[in-house]
Amino acid sequence: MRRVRAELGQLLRDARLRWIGAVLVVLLGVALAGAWRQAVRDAGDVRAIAQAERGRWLGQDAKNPHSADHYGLWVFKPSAPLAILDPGIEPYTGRMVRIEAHLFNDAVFRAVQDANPLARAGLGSVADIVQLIVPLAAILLGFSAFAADRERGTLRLALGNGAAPGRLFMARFGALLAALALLVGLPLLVLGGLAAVSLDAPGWEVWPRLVPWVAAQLTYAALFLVLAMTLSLTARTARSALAASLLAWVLVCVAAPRLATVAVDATTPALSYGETRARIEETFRGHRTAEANDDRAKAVLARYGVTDPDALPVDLRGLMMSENEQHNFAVFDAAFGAFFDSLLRQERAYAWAGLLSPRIALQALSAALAGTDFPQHVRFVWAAEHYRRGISRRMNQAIIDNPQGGERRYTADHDLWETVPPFDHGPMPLADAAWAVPLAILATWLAVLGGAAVLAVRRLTP
Amino acid sequence: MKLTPWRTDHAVRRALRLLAAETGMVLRERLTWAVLAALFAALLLGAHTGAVRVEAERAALATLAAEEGRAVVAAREAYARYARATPVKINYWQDPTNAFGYMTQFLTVHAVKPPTPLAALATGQSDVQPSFMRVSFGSSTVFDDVAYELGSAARLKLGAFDLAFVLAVLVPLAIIALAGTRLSVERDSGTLRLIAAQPIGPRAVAGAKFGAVAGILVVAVLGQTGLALWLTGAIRSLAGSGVTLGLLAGALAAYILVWVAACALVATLWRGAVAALSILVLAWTLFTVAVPAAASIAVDCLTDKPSRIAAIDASRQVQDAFANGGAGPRLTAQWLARIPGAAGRADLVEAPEIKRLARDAHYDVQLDARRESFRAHDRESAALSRWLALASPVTTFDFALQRAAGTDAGRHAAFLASAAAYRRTLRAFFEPRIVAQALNPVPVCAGCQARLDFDAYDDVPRFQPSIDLTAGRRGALMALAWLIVLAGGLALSARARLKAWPA
Repeated sequence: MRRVRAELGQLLRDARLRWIGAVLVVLLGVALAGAWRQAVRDAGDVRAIAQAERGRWLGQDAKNPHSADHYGLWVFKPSAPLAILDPGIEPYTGRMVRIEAHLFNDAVFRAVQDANPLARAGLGSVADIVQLIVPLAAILLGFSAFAADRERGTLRLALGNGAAPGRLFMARFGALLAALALLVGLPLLVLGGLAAVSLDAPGWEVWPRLVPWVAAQLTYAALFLVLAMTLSLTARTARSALAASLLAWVLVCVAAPRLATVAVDATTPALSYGETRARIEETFRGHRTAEANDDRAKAVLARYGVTDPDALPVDLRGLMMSENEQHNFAVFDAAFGAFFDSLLRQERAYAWAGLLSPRIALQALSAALAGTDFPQHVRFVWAAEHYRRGISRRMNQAIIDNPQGGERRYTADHDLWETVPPFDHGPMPLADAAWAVPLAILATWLAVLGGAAVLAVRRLTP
Repeated sequence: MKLTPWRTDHAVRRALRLLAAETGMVLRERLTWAVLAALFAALLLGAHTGAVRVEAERAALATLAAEEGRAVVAAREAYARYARATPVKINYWQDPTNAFGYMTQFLTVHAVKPPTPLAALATGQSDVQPSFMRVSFGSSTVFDDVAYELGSAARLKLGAFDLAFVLAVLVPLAIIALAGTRLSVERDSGTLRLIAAQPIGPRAVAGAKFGAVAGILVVAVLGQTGLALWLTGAIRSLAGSGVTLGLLAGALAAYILVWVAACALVATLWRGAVAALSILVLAWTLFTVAVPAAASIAVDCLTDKPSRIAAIDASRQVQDAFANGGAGPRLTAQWLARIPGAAGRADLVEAPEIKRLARDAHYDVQLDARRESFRAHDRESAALSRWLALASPVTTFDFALQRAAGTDAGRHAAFLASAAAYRRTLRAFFEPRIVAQALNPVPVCAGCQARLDFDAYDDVPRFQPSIDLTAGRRGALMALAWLIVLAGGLALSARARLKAWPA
């Protein structure tokens, strides 16, 4: 610890650390403030419109329940509070779903759709900064750890004075890691925690998510510190150490993530959304022809042993709508089930692509911990669909139970609308999130680089 | 000192000799060939990715065309079937022989944004914005752009490994690797003193060193890019885009010169290789991610982004006002009153097709201002982004590639506007037919259940896709001019600082 303190004291006097620290804190602060402001505004808007929608649903005129089913309502995906730190895939997926009869509507209005074309080129979030810039900072802090001493000849002096290479390495690593923890980990934990807690998000397990999230970011930073220091141990000059570290950074943080998209597309292709929709449409088209409808009506009448719909104890139209919906639900389940499964397979493949680059592993781990990963979105999509089905079932049942015919017209009112509960979507618990694979991969990276560092320390020559 | 013609000639010959010597030296370095080989592999992969994407887009458009054709055939068959007496009851939503039924339930048409001849160059916005939209009247739509192709969000987040990425992002790193320490390493190794002892100025030395790298890189990158495009078949036909491609090649050369000049300028700081490398990589980071991020914040601050959530609320208020409180029949009667021959037909107020047309017309009128505010924002945001992209050479060049490829935000905004116009055209096509049928139903055969008032399936207006090749040309020209200015400015700054050798 004494050595670490000594190294840290020396490090804190280094202008390089002050510059790097200032840039990082400013970048993180600006990104966090922007995200928090947007999140507060969005949460307020969503709360207000969700209440208004509920009011509109309950306040609609008396009408046939099927018309109410068509009138429908909008439901909104609750944003994860830690999205202010890592929005994960949230900007790339829809945030709201129109609930209405017959239609499994898309979750629409993705933030990326409304973002200006420069947004994707830049650093959009705190997580982007951590994933791209923090490694660079770690490299700039760590590349000269041994190579500069070697160039100056002071490494020979230190080793000659009996300093154990392993201890020297650990002291310098400890000091640099402490500096990074101070510059990155602490602001993330304190500011991120305060901001996330202020967003009032029950059920999101904010602190159990935040603490490992910050730990994951620090582990990632530590990886690059180990990498830069290992290269510094082996390089003859500081220039070579820096060049090699920067090359590794470019490969791992810039090129590999995009290369992974090519690899995953080739090895784990997903189903096409357009084709899935077209297949569903084709199935429905055959099912809803007048002839098919007539056959089903005859079958219903035969089931009840009557020939006249008016002789039925239930409403034929309601019954047929209900049966039709059951058919549609099955088609949706099969088609969209397969489609979302294929996307989830691809997401898992991306997590494994973390073997190509720790940035990919961190991206997957970070989003899973923050609750902004794709499984969360899929959960919302199906929750909205089940809510829609619940409304359709209630409306159809009301029609079934109130046969119409001749002069009889059925209109329902507030009493029926009130039987529909508000949409209440809870997040996927942290325990169920897909963090195990990326965590294991990140740990593997750390172990491999740590092993390389141990080897380099053993072979250290002045 | 004024140079005589003899001295000028001598200086030029000496500079050329130096340049040739440096070029030979750079070409003999293993690093040069390693970097160029890695770059070529990346260019090949980028071009291949683009070619695959464009091919997928073309295949998707072909599928849509086939789907549209099948829908028309099915409607025609239904018409033939329903033109005979049948005991089967045919509701309007099952009846493609009825203009309203066909428009709301069977119409299968799309607004499409076909790939341009140079589409493979840049993914741009094409992975987040749809290249086609089904135009339908089956349910109410709040905005023009609700459709999208849901795919892997992780892929979108990571970004595409396309040619634009390789050229705009990786090429500068290759340049930094080859040119970044070319002069500063001489200082670190002590050979700069030996060079300075020769009767030669720093400008000539730096000119030869950076000129050699620039020459090699311009030839190599342009050649490799052309070869990658040819080998992968990424550009099948130029079809009017030859000039744009030529301008882009010029812009690429200028882009390389910008980064080589930046390396030269950093070298004039005489701070050693480590500092030079650090500064250049930080400059790359600044222009690749930090400046675009700042420009993006500026665009958001300078344009008034309308709220989707507020717009949905507004649309629901309009819907609520029509559906409840008895406003629907009143508004339907008002709408009907504007149609010649329909003013006195109170019986039509409750007709589903008339109610729907009146409702949609009401929504359109009430929400048009909001839709227009989104369109205006898209246009404004795209235009402002184009200007602010000039703040960084990376985005300058990247945006030029996107515009040439037709995958830029500006083209998408225009596409959304034309898709909305197409929807209005379709509505104008069907509306008179639906109203005419409501006013005077077409007589049908005895026992026929279908309405049989519509069989003009082939007359339904088709979407006319547009490819504005001049936008790509303008973008490439602007980028070329700006990059030349930047390269010139940086080179002149470096030259000005290279008056004398460092002490």
